[in-house]
Amino acid sequence: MGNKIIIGIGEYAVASNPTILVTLGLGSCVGVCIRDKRTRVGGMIHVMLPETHETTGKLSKYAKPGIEIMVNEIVKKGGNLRDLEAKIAGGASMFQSKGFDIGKRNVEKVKEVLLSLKIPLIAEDTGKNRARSIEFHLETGELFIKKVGGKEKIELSKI
Amino acid sequence: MKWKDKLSEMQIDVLREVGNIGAGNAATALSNMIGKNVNIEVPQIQIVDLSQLYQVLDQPEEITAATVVGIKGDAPGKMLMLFSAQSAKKLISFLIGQEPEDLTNLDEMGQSVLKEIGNIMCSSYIIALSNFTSLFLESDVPMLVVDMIGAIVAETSIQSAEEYDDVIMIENLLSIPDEGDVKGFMTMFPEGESLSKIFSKLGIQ
Repeated sequence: MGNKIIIGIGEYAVASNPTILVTLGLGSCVGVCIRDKRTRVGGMIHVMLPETHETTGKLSKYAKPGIEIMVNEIVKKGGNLRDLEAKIAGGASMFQSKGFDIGKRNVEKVKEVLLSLKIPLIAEDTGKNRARSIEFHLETGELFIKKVGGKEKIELSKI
Repeated sequence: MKWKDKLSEMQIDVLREVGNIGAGNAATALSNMIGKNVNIEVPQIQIVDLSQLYQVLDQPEEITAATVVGIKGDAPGKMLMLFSAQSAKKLISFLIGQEPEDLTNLDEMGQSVLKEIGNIMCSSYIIALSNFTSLFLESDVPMLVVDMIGAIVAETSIQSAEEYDDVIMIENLLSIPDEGDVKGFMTMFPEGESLSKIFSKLGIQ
């Protein structure tokens, strides 16, 4: 099955097949998974916030420029910009917040960045109010999602 | 920016005292509500890198009930009161005499009992902090969420940490000795400017 890489909040990782990329506890954060469907080089980033105009510090916390930085690295490691595909999960609103929905803003920003990079978004599981843990298999491109369901059980789904 | 590089040993001691006073009051409030003894442990101050946040939790995917109360006023921040699924159900039963079957599917009554327990505890903590520091602090509307603990802690902390890459948690463990397995965990997340206000009010630089 290859090795597993666990990605922390506001971090990213790029790897080649066979690797499983994992991140836990996505609330309003968004997990963006990008993979070259031919070479199977891919990456995952745990985006916390939409955008920064800073140029130093931990830029991978932000959809912009975080995703761009990751895509550059995927290309460096043998990915081809034309063959990249994206799947995203997260952007929930766990607390019944009034007005300020950071999850929704994160998802919108992520989609905007993907569009600007011309990377097709082929699947998503976003919004609602449950947190998600995700596993991205570079071998198959499958994205497994764990969520709290009814009866105090964790539900597993796949996109 | 990182807290790790900014806080002195002395300041960390002060935060521990803040946790002690706050949780002491919260424990008393809980004890009054349920008519049982409630113990608290010495608070722990943890300064954790955001990227390491999951590593400090034993089981980041454990289903947990949490009440979040925002702190408004001179030193804003967030209070989080967490109970494991089993503990939350026990607490509900202490107050309404009946244990809910499914925490992820609570009825109105169960939800409001749990939310109110968390609210009273967090508010007691906030009042104690306000008295101790002479800062004006009040509690915001409480919110209840039942979800994976990792996501709850992450979600609460990142809301108070936009410009920092690590978070400060003032952690307290509470337990009810007569009910062995009932344990709660409460933590305060101060926001950026709030800490310097607390320190300067207490005469610590």
